[in-house]
Amino acid sequence: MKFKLTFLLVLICTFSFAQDNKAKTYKQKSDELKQTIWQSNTDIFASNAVPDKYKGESAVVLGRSFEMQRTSNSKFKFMGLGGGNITKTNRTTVFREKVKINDKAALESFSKLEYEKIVDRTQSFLFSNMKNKAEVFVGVKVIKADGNEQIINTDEEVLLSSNNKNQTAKLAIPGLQIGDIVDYYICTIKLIEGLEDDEANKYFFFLADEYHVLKYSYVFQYNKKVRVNMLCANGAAAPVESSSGPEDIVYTFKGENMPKLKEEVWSSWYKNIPYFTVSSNYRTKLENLGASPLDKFDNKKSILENRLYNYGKTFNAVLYPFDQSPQKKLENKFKAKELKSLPLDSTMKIFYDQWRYNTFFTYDDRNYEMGQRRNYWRAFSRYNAAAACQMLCDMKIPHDLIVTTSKYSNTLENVFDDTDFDVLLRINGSKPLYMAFERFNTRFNELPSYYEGQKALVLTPTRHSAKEYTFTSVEATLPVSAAEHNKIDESLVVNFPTDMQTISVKRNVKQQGHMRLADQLGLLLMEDTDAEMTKMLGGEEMKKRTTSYNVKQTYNNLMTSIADARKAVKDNFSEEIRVQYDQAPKELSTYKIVNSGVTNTQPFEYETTFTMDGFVKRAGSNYIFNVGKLIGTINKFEQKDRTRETDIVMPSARTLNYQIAFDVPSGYDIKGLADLNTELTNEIGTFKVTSSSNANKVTLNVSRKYAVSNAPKGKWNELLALLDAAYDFTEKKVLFEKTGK
Amino acid sequence: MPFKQTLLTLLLLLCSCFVLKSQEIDTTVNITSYSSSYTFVKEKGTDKVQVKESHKIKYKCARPTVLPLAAYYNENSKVTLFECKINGSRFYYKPKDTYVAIKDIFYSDARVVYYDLEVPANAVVELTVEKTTLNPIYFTNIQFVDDYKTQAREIAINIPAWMDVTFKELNFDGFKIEKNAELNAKDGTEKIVYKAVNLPAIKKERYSPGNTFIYPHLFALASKKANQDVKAYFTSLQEQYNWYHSLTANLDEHEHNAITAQVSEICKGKTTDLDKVKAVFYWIQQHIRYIAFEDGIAGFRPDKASEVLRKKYGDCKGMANLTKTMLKALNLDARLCWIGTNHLAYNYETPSLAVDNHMIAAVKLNDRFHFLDATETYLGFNEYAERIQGRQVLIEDGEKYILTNVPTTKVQQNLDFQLKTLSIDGKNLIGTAEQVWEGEEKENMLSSLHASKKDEMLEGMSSFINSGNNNFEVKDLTHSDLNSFDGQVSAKFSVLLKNSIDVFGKEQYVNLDATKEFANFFIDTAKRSHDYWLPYKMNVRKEIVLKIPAGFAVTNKPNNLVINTPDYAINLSYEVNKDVLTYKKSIQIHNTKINKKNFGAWNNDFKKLSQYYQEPITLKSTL
Repeated sequence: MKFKLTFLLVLICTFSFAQDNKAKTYKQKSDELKQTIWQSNTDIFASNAVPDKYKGESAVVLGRSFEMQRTSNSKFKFMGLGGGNITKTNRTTVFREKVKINDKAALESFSKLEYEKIVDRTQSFLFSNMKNKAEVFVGVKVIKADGNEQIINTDEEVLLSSNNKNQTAKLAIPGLQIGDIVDYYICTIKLIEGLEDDEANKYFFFLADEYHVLKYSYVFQYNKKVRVNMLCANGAAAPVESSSGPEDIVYTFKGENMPKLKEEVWSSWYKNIPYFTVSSNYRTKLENLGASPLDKFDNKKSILENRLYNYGKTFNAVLYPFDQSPQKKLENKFKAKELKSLPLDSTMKIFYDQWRYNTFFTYDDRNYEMGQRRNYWRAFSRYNAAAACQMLCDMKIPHDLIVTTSKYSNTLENVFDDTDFDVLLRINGSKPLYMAFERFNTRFNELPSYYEGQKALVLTPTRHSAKEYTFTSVEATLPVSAAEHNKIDESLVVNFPTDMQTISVKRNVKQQGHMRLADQLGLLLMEDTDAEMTKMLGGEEMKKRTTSYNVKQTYNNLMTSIADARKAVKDNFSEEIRVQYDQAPKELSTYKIVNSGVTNTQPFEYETTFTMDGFVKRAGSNYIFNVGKLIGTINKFEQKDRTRETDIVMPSARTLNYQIAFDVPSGYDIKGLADLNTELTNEIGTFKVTSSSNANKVTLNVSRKYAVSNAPKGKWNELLALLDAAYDFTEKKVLFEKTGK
Repeated sequence: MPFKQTLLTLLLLLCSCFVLKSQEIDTTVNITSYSSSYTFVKEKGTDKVQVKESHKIKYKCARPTVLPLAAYYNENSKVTLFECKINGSRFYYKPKDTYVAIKDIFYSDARVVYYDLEVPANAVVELTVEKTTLNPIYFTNIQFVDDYKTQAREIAINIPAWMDVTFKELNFDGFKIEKNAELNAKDGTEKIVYKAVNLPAIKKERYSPGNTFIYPHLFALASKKANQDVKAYFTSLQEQYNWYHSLTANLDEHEHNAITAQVSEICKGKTTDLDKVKAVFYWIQQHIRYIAFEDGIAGFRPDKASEVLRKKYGDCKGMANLTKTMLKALNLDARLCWIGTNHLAYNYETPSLAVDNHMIAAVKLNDRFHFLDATETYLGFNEYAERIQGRQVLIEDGEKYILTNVPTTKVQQNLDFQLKTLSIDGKNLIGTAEQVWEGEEKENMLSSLHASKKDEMLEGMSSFINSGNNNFEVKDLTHSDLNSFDGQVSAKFSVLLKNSIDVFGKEQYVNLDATKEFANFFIDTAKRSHDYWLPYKMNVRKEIVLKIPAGFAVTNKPNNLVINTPDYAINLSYEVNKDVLTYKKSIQIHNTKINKKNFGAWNNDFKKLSQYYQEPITLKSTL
């Protein structure tokens, strides 16, 4: 098998890079490839049989292979008046899949191909050129139920663009029907001269799929000059290594019965699903001369060690200068002695706030949008942590770098790229103080929820010079916040108009910890936040913080964008209500931010007054009030979602409290109030409702507490019980019974 | 083909086509002036008539924005100039020129020259476009409106004395448009100038009539004046038919081996003509995929039937031609038909290539034509889609043609019927039920179901049955053959309606209706600009039979709701007979076109329906 696969690649590659191949037309190359690929016999594609257990599936992948060959060498190239050795890379990939089509949905999905046939980005310099050309060849075979095979004429494609440099094509596969097997391949042959982006040579595969895959293989073949990095995670088996000759190495991942992917709420694919990733790298000596130190890789070290080594090399103020205004802010505000004597939690807060101010509240000609989208900007944690660390070293503030990963991404052990981890800072005073370089509303000493409980490496820096830092490291686990820390307190005062057609709600919402972040992003107006931050830090007016080749124009753009953003505020509040109740307010009469929670440690607080339809319904002379709906929409889990295959990874532990108050309408008695009371407590949390009444005044207190953020899959039923209890409450009603009956 | 996420990077499938009108329209952009001129000329050397058009458009952008500027062309036209200025300075970058990706069309020869221009606040952008249409037959109309509000619009048309064309004014009511016509005494050229002010931007709203019903435009037609020697436009429907006929005359393949073999297999065991027609029609619906092509003359000429059969896909023309050819192979009188769907405001009284947009087939049985539109994948024989009902249809008839109309069917063609027999179980209702879908209700349901994966179909059908209500659980679902489109599709199932009963002391409040069709179906009169056209005539009939538990009596039930208008009828009632309560609901939309002037009445009536749904029935313990 291994031999056959390798043989196929060798055949294709010999074909694709042969000298006489240059003279061949696309059609000739395509025909030869077809012959080579269709004649290759591998056990992956040998069988047309679908086990009975898969007959109810939309489609079944009988076989799938992905084969890649990369050959990179040094080549002397004349460039203008000089020349030098550059990388020449030939890369061929063949993706082939044989799929049994069982229904219309699969037929629709597999009956059309769209591909870039030719992409030629070759650049010319005087009498020379740097080649960069890719050709994509496709082949399709339809196998009928009786075993009859029809090789599709791919000349039936239509061209969507058709110049010499760029051709995009589409092919509707003729003759394909439900019950058939479609066997198709996409072969890309690329020649590149010069350095390539590393991403172009990176391959990532989850070993789970939209459909069941009965047999699969992934083969990567490199000439020995190429450096190969590889990672197998979550139980993915390591590849078999082999060689087709002295000059190459072949890695083969092969298996059977790749499972169908099941999507689950609160799950982390990168923690659960086996995957592997392969990348490769080659540079000539000339290219290495000008290469960044970050490009070096020490084979004796692990991938993570290499990535951290690279990260350490970014601590170089000469090569990688950074904005030093947080440090300057402190140095301007305090004398050196004073700075040392002040508690770290106050000085470091100023440092951190100044970083937020400089990162999110400066404007230039590409950066003047003030709409809601700006709220969602996220800083680069690695870069900003490195800059902050260098400033803190300079100020001799004791601190560590915390290297970690999000609970929804790869683990720390499975770091592969330079971008596969994040970095925080921890100030080491009387108590640890964290700095996470994330969003404008991330507070000083606040650990984003996705890092909570994660494994981390604590790197303690030592500054040797502005260009050299070293680090010692120890392992750690990041702290986890309690449910009480991440809290929503809602107060809802409900009134009933005389016609009882609608309800009027005065709603006050206070959000703390992680529970405030999403609504802050959705509701805060950047203009207001800018003003608040400017006031807190004594910053300059907006115009002076605008840098551009044409300040007047950029400032005009900024003002126009601010005016637009202001107009959207009411819609933003309305949308918040719609999402909360799965129903838009009939009328939103007042809305305001009481406390932004951006410049202080108070909860984020906002108030709205609105009317809603559908909460009260008439029942003869009585009325039924769906009071439970006031805690908002709760998802009802369907039967198929009641079994669990992966551990539960929720954003955070949390508490949601609702206090609902209303007067029983005059002329009516209330019934069913006591039936609302309920309490359920288990290992995951609590759901509790208590009601009380005094004369005609009714108060309901509802509390939903989820005490943990992560739980093993075995606890799913307990979490479901809490969610079901909350859902059931949303269906609860009270009766306003006409008095004097 | 679903390219896997993991392969995206290696396949480099970055689509280079321009996606038609994909950009969000910036409503703060205004066109301050937009002048166009159209001149009919004869090409030097060939004397072929062409239409030269030039446009000067001035945009004012209040805020920084990306302004899409585009000019469309195809093999029958060319853009000869496309340039713009920003704040008076020429923009020298070369515009992009690519094919247009149109939603739901697999391939179109339409191309576009365009800029996506990033402009600062208060920018003034001037666009100049010159375009030539190589054959006036393809130059069918002139639009006044644009994607942006237009303050001043001018359209000048120069018609030489030799040119046989006139322009019909459509949808001018409600717009400020002035017309001035001058005749050049020297050469007889007529110059018509239209001036309009304060034109609205084209507004896209779901379920709207097509633009030809809404916006002012000029429709090019033959003037039929005797003294004009260039007859570029069809002067009669016969001429239009002759042109169509010339494209279809050589397509006869009813004796083609593949066709006859396939027809024999399909019709094995069928004895009557009707059964054979149905068998062929349903086979094509099931086995031929609809893929839309718009490619030059091929946009009008059907693909060969044998090719459609081989490929197992085709556009409406190809599917119509295969239908006709297969039926002819059975010695039946089958014809090709041209038709304009209800998206178009035109009909064959104004012969033009713009008046139709679809092809179907017809078969004559017992001296009556039956129309067969295989692109409607799940409609049965003699069931017609709303979009073609009542529309004029041009049927081929050798050298002549037949002009008739597709029958308009009544609301009863379509049916969404459900009968539930329920009893009370604590706070829930339990029981059994049966469901029937017919006509376009059936097509709507089956289209959605067949777009789902096989293992998700039952779940999809349950969602149709319970209208997405989580408290309405559908269990033990069985159904009729989902691949049989003849007649109705039916299902049987067990029902669990959770939390349907609110108990307060001795009283139980029962919420019987768990599907509440058309609840809160209100049209926002403040936001809606166009009439609202429903996709088909809706006919909802639901019936619930509830066993009243022993020791309880119905003490309150809503009064019957009866609303009957020419356009729709709503009838809901509760009846108690001994220990059985029967709830009957009938909602029939006879007229799919809800006119703006009727929005208020519609909202009032459907508010009554929504309120009715809210009110439970009251059962009181008699013990």
